Amino acid sequence: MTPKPTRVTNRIRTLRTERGDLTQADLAEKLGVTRQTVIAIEQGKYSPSLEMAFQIARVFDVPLDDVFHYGEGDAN
Amino acid sequence: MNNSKHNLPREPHRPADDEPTVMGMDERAAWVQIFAFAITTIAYLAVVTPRVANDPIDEVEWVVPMLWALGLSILSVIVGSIIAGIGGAIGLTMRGLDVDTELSSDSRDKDIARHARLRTYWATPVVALGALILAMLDVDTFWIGTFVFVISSIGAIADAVVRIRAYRRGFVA
Repeated sequence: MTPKPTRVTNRIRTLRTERGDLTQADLAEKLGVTRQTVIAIEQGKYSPSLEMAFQIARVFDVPLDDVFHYGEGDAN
Repeated sequence: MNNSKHNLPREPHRPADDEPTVMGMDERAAWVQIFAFAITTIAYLAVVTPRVANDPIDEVEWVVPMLWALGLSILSVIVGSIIAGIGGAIGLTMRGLDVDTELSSDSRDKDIARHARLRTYWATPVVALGALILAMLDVDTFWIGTFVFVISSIGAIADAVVRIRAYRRGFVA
């Protein structure tokens, strides 16, 4: 399996599951991006801009760090 | 007449999670760019190399082949991208997926294009510096023109390769 290019992880899939009826296509529409982009974010292949990260958090009505995490001790 | 028996295009449906996506327009254009520049550059070299081998260097006719190569590169990128886009649109329509939302470009495409530009920025100074050095050495214009053309083509191909890699494996902006 190809290693993920970023140490940023996210809980978007989990949050979508908790919402029940929010598909990748629905989220893509809310964010104004393609479904490919939502899939790439979920798979850790693309780190969205800070602005889009806030938009994603707003869709789920949770704080930003409930959606995105950065690996411990990797601040450099 | 019963239309249900005919393969009429389906109304776009909402794709389910993880339903296979299609290659977006920008990734298709990157593939076209690789093939267009590789083929035209190889063709140019195939035409001029025998002339270099057989004729005095200052008599080698290279301008017309290069103009053809440049023109065909640009034309094939444009036409190839259009054809690739039409092919993708037909495939999506057959699968009942919305063409606009699946094929369009978004911020990820822009980030990937920027990422590729940064990774292949070397081509511009290499071309400029190389051409300057060749001019200072007073070599024939054939070598300067060919050097600029070939390195620029390699830069364009590298740009497309970086973009495709970013689409497939991901990237950090």
